[in-house]
Amino acid sequence: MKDNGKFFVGLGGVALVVTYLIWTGVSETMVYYLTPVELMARAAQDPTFHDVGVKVSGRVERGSWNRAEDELLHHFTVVDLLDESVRFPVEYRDMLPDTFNDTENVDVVVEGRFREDGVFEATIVLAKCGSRYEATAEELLG
Amino acid sequence: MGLIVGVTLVAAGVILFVMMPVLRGDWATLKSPDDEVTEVDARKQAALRGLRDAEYDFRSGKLDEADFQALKSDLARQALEAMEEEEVTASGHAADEGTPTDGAVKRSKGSAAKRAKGASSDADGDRLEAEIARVRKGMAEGRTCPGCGHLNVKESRFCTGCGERLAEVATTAGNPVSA
Amino acid sequence: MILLGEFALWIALPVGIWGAIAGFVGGRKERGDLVLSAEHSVYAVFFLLILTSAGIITAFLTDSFEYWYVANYSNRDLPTFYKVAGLWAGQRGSLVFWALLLSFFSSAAVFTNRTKNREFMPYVVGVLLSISSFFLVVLLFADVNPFERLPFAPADGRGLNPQLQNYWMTIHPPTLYLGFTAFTIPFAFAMAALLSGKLDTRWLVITRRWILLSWFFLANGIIFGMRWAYEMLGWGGFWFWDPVENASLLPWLTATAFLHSIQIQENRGMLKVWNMGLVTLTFLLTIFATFLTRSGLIESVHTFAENTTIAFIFLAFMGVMAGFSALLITWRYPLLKSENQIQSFLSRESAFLFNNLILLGAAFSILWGTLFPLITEGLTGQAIAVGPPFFNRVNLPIGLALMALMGIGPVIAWRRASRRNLVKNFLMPVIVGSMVVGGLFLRGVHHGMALLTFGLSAFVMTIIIVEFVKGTKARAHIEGEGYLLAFYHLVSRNRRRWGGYIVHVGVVMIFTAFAGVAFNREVVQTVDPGETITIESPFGHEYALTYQGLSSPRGQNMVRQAVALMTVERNGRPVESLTAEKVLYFKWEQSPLTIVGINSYVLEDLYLILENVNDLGGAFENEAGAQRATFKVQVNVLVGWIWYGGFVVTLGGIIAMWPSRGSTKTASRPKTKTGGERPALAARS
Repeated sequence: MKDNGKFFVGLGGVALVVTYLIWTGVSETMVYYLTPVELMARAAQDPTFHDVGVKVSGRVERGSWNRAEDELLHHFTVVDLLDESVRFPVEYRDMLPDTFNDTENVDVVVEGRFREDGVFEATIVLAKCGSRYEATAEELLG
Repeated sequence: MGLIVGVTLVAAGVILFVMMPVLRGDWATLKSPDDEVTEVDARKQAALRGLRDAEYDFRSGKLDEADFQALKSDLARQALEAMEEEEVTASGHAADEGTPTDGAVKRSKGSAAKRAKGASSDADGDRLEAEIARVRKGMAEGRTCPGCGHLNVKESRFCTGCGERLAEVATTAGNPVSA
Repeated sequence: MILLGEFALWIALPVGIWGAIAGFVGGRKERGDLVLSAEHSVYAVFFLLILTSAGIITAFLTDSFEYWYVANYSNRDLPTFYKVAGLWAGQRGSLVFWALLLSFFSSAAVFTNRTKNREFMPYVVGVLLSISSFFLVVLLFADVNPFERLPFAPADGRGLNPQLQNYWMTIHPPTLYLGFTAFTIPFAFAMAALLSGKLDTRWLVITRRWILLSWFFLANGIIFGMRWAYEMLGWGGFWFWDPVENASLLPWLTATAFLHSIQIQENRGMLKVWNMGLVTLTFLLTIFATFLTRSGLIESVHTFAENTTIAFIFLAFMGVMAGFSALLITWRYPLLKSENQIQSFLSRESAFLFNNLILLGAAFSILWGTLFPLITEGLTGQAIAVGPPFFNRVNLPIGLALMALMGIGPVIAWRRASRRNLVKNFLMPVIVGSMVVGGLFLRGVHHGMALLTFGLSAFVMTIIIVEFVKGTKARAHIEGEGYLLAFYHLVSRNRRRWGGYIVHVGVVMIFTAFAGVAFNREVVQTVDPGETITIESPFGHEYALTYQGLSSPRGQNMVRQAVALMTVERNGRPVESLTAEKVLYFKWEQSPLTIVGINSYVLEDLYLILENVNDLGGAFENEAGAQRATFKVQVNVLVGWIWYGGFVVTLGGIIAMWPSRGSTKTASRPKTKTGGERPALAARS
């Protein structure tokens, strides 16, 4: 043990620092990762939920995309993947990814906060061409 | 039709190629003498590299003189041990094609350690100097010793075969490693 | 040819399994015929996978859309080199590509060791073929066969996602895969060392160049990915802490740690167990990277598809390999005892050790952050995610610590550095660093972390430059050479060390570029033709971009293209114009692609994005009234230093890898001629 003393001291020191960094990192930047259904449920239960960082995955509702004229401002609606009756509006003030559209099945992940007025103020939007990323045989044969 | 021919050819060719050694009794080499040499050589190279690095560190002011001398004798001992083992292995191979016995290796280690202590002025110290010079120069051309005819590396000051001082090398370098 | 390729895949599996068994048994029982057969199997598998790959590429080139894989990633109008790149465009093909590269490196390893390291080779072959066989099993039985056929051939394929239709597609994935697969060789040698009991530094010496090669490809692959993102996908960003990005970074971090810790083992005989663990970990992380990309388990813009069968198979494989390695290490533990211990915290061993610990700390935190949603969901039912803020926050101090170490490492001697000399050696670099910090502060740079980065940058650069100068002088003094010759000899006689220092310079440049992000500027404006957008950079440069209008040419495989032209003035003088586009690709009309325009200067990039055209349809028809558009203009500070730094890293890597005459890999005495032949004829029992 004495032989490897310095090694373990060094190891312990670094491990401590890294653990501290991770711990504080997580607690200060974590976001809840929810479905729209869960989001609505949490918002209903918990009034402070509107100040918390949230990440929600769902699908873009067809035809719901609206872009303001002359202003970098997008509005669209996100729908739950399983329960289509649950939806919420999203407001986003930055460039949307190229994969985003409201005519196909586009899966989307929005991160930001869910405001009191029921609009989701997004800071990040990621979009993926849903399950069509690899087409099934039916889709190919068309 | 062409496909069947093609597949059969490929399959047959591959299977033949893979199974040929077993069928014909061709053996791959399982041991090479270089393997033993490589291990000892790796240790020797590491020690000699360490010596060279230590010298540079000393010259660029990172190491104190006292630390440098301590490091140097430690590394010199390691290098000598490795070189001894190398010689024993080589002569062992030439004689009976076997690997050196533990006893031979132990003996060489012991004598190397003793000799490292007096490394400043005797023939082994000189040998070490020559070896260091060799490493520093890299693998250079040879230089023949007038005494024994041994081909030494360029700019060696002493013959590694017989220890005889070689003709003065026209070097403008200041002191090489002080002993 | 295509069918031949398919059969070749089937033939490869039994050959691979036979070879693996023959290798292990031959090694254990000392049966040279089995070992030779195993080595032949390595070559045979490579040959067969070449046929398989040729088959897949032929299917693409002949528009054989009856194959599901071809139909999904190609169409008739696709340019030829994207059809060839179809081999690695999708999940199935990329598994074949991985297997191909693995078999290529395996063959190279066997070939270069025909007459040396013979005690290792049976086990090396056994391990390599076992891993290859795993990939073959996955390809053939896990529902990912690239030769799967549809009931009948569709008239045309879906085509390749336009985001992948650029030259980076032919560079980035192959380079990364080369890095991932090359690392299997050192792992195989490590396992062979454990199995054969030859646990001195030999296996390290043998695999040093393989490790460097793998690290080199990984570094380049990652930087290519960053450039691709910056040029095409990232709107000025180059790294998003995306799970798949993270997955490629992890083995690179541990490989970097390994490159440093092997020097401790070579020079001081320490950290033997540590190195065994590191090489296993790095290998497992390369498999983890495939696993993460293929399984869709963690959402990412990179993931190919969700396929839980694959996920479990890869997880099981990783578990088996981890267990196998752990068992071997435990078994051979007595032979892995350290020969020395750390004598002082102020020593190069200590600096290298901290480097290792910090790199592993970074890797751990990135892994943690990436898997966090899975972990929390598994434990509490509620998934919690962390994103770029977490990763940036945690890795910033780590990056700074690494920079400091890059400065401290070269200055410290092995074993025990004298304090007095350390102080003397640090004085000037610290002064330079402080002056840089002070100078920047006075010029208005008040961002704390950036200042620290720039200061450390200057500190490290000073130390490395001084190292080169001191080393050259010392050598010139000892050897009596002129400075130029001394410099050349200095570097060429110790390529690893000096190549390594050059790599450090490159890394410092890249970290400096990261700090530049804090100063980026951005302007969003909607304009009509004739109007000007202005933006000023932190360096005081003024840019005026005057919108000329949209035009609509048409290129291959594109349906429509709207190109916006901006004439640019920099500090009042006209410079190169910028164009930015929206493009619609055939078969992907719902998602117009945004192409950006970049003007690069040494200290900053001017970056133009066509964010939106009010009437895109009209613009495509070149209608005069449809020219109003919204642009985002950015000044990206110091971003070019990532690419310049990348070049420097590459240069340093090449120097470090460059073979020298009389390298330590071959014994320093001339090879005996009898070595190869003697046992072949004699030893049959």
